[in-house]
Amino acid sequence: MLPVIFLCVALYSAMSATVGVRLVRRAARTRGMPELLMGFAYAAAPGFGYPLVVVGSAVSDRSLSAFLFALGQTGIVLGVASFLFFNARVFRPGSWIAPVAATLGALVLALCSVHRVRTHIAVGAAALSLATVRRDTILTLVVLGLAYAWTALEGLRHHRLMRRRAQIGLGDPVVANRFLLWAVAGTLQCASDAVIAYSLLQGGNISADPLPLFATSSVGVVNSTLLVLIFMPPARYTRWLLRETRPGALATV
Amino acid sequence: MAGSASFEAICAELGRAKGMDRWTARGMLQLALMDAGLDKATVSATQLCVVIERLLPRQLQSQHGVDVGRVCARLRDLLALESADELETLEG
Repeated sequence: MLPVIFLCVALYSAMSATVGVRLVRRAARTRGMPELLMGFAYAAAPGFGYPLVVVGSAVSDRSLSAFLFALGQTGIVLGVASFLFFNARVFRPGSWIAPVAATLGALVLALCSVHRVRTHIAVGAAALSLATVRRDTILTLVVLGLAYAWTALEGLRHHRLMRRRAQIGLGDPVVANRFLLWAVAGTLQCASDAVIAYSLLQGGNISADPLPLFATSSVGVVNSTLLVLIFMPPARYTRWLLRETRPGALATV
Repeated sequence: MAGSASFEAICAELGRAKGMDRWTARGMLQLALMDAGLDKATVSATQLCVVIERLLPRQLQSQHGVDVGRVCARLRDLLALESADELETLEG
């Protein structure tokens, strides 16, 4: 069972790294801040940060383990912070609350991460069994869950707006579909975080219990597919979308 | 929140129509934009043109004494000028 789960999570990490690097390269060409924030978020957190934390926890050499773990945690914090600022900048450009919320979220993540790294250096991979580390991990998952819930709600809102635009011939069905997939990915990730947080609250072992492992791996596989459809959609999928969402089909909105 | 330049121009023009006032015009246009899934702060002249063509006539029909066809034609003329300005800005 464990190799399958490992494969699922590895697939999500590989896909996130690919999408992240592509977006950062695009940002270098277009000088677009949204592409840069999103690309960095995917590359730094699930792409490189998470695998480094997993490898860092498994390595027996204490110094190397601490280095990889700290590097991974830094990637996760910077990646998720980018994700929060992406939401604020892209979905709420005129609001002052959004950047404040993003900053607060990033600060909470950074503080929790610093504590986890310090504990990891002191006691190694067994740190997760400590009550304070579990509390910090739950807090991190709450911030992550809120970030994904935010992105899911904004995705749904924009999907609805795009469909309305399409009714009068202004919207692009491919973009509308991207917002919907974006919302689905955010909802799934939020649900996965909730399951892991619940398991931690119940005193479970998130690296061995079937429920959190199933949540992580299944969401990893589905979200890998969604990432492909959102950022690198195959031509056949785009053609199918355009066929299915011809003006008549959208008139039922 | 203020609307885009095109939105404000159309509001002012619509508010001058017979049987309309500034606030009614603004409200009607905002309702039409909501139906279209557009935001008054970012709506462009080209998008407004489609809204006036497809959605505004229905809103105006509920207003007594308004010559819908004439008002919409006047708004479209105004937007044609705005669109030309938009193009010039993009090309410049």
